[in-house]
Amino acid sequence: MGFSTLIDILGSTIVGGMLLMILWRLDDAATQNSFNYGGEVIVQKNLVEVVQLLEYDFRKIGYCKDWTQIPDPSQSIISADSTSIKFLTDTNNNGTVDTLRYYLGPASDLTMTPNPRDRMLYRVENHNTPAGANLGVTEFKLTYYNALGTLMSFPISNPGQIATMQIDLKIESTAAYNNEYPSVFWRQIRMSSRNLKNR
Amino acid sequence: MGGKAAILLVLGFSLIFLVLGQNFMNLTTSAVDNSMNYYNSTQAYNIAVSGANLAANQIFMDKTWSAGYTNLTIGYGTVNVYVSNNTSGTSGKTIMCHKPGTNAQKTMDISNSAVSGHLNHGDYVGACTGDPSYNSSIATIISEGIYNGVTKTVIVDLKPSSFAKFGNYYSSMSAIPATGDVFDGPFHVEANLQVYGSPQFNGKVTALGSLQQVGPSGAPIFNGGFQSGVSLPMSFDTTGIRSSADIIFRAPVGSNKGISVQLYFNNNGTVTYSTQVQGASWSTAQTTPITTLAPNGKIYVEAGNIYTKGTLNGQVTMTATTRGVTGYGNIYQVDDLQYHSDPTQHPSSTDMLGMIAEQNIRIQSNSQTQNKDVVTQASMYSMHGNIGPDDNLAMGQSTLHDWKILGGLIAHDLRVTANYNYSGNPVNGLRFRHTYDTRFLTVVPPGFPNTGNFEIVGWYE
Repeated sequence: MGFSTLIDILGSTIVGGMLLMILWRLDDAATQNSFNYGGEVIVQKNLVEVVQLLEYDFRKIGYCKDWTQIPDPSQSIISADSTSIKFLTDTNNNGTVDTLRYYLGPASDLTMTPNPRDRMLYRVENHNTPAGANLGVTEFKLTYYNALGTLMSFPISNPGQIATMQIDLKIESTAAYNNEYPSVFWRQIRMSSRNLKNR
Repeated sequence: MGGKAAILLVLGFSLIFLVLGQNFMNLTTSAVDNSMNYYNSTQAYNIAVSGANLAANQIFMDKTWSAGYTNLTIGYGTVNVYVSNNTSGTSGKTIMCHKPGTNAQKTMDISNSAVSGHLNHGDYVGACTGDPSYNSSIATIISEGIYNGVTKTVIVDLKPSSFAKFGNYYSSMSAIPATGDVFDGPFHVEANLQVYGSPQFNGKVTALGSLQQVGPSGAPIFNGGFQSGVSLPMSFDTTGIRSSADIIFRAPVGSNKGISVQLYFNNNGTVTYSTQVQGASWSTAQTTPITTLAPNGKIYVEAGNIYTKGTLNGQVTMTATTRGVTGYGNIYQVDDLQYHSDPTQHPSSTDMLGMIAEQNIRIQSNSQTQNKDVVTQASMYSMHGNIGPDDNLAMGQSTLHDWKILGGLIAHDLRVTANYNYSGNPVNGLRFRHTYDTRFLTVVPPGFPNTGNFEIVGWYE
């Protein structure tokens, strides 16, 4: 084995090592990108799911198939604060009045996920057990305006004064590569349930 | 050998990049798909809402409209609107169940000519199974918005609106609601709404004109919302009320005289009544069950004044018209007028009173009303005048008492009920204590005037 052979082995080792490092880096980058892209898709899908559910329920504030069951829909919101709301509605369109409550749980409910900010958005129908799925909600903020368009301050002692509301929703991935959590933000400005003030 | 290895390396890396690239492309496509699905769904919803609004507007313009829309193009989508409206009667119409088994299932009364079209999309003749809510007096709009293959449905129910739903209604307001004033129930003024300070409105407030704040700073408190640009002019269909009345009191035909009628209600469901033709003496009082005198509860006094008091056990609407005879068309409350079963204590109470006067409704000043609180439980409607105590009760008595109203006041104008000091507090007369009878949101006294418009009672989307 001559000197040139040693050079060949050394050279091929260096080249092979470089290729290996490139492969490792490629794997790392691919994993990161997969996490990021996948995470973004997931948060987008989660956002649409949450938004569609919120829109479906909030548009029915004060609605009942048997309209005589809610004679004064303007008083349909029972309680309201910045992260929760409770109102009268008819969730399954059967003519029976239901109460529906949305509220944002504490971050301590989801300590098992890597994201320290995600929380459960609970939906409680009548006196049933709060239902919720971890969709990565990190912000659920409600802002209320009265009939004159004036911002209402908390606590809201008379929810009947609420004419419109603003909903802010932020969703992040529950897990992320390198703590880079993809996030999406959605805002519904001046949402007004038609049943709330239609009579 | 080295060349082959290089080719294999290039091919291998290319394969890896292709797989990764395909994966990323799929993720991107999925994200766009997700956004597009939401966009399509939102567009279809907006189109359905537009169709419902168009149809509702048509019905507000023409109370008998039921044509609907077929494949109307809106915003690059289409909308189909089906309307059930029996304002012009049920002749030539068929009851059908629209879209049975879906969220859009609804019993409708549709034109016979449209039956085949409904049968073609799976409807069937007859009310929907298990749908007890069908009410032929309710108009229904079903609007189906279609966008990129996504269909969204909006269902709107409308009912004829009655003036009895108002806690307060005024064609104009010569007095301005001020700080400390509390108005219970729905409120409407067919003019600008002027407020002084921060009066409180507990029901929904509507006004033809705008909200005008005068005087000190502060905003009115709207606990049920506020909407401007709503026109609901008073109407008085004496012909319709007369033709549906159970009993009509009037002076002899051709005498051109007025008549006065006493209607004193007894808590056993009877009424003691007496009449006095202008210039003559009172007739002998007679007592009879309300259901005998007026089986449907509609009492009409033509060119007459009504004097009333007592405890009503039943449902009655009394109407006083002028018919060209001066000094008539008024209703005088001569003592407390209340329900046998107080609805504030017994919500299931069916006792109900409507008072309709072409001119004024007055609390008469007499020994039974002076220097004491006065109770009125009724929905009161004064077409050309106002509602309140005689001047002698409002201004003449030296002490302050309460006028406790349970019901509604619908009048051409406001009337002062007491004297106020410079601080804005009543000092003598009758202090206005009004509570809205919430039953009138869903049921009204027999034959009480309608506004002539529909109101939306249900919006499902």
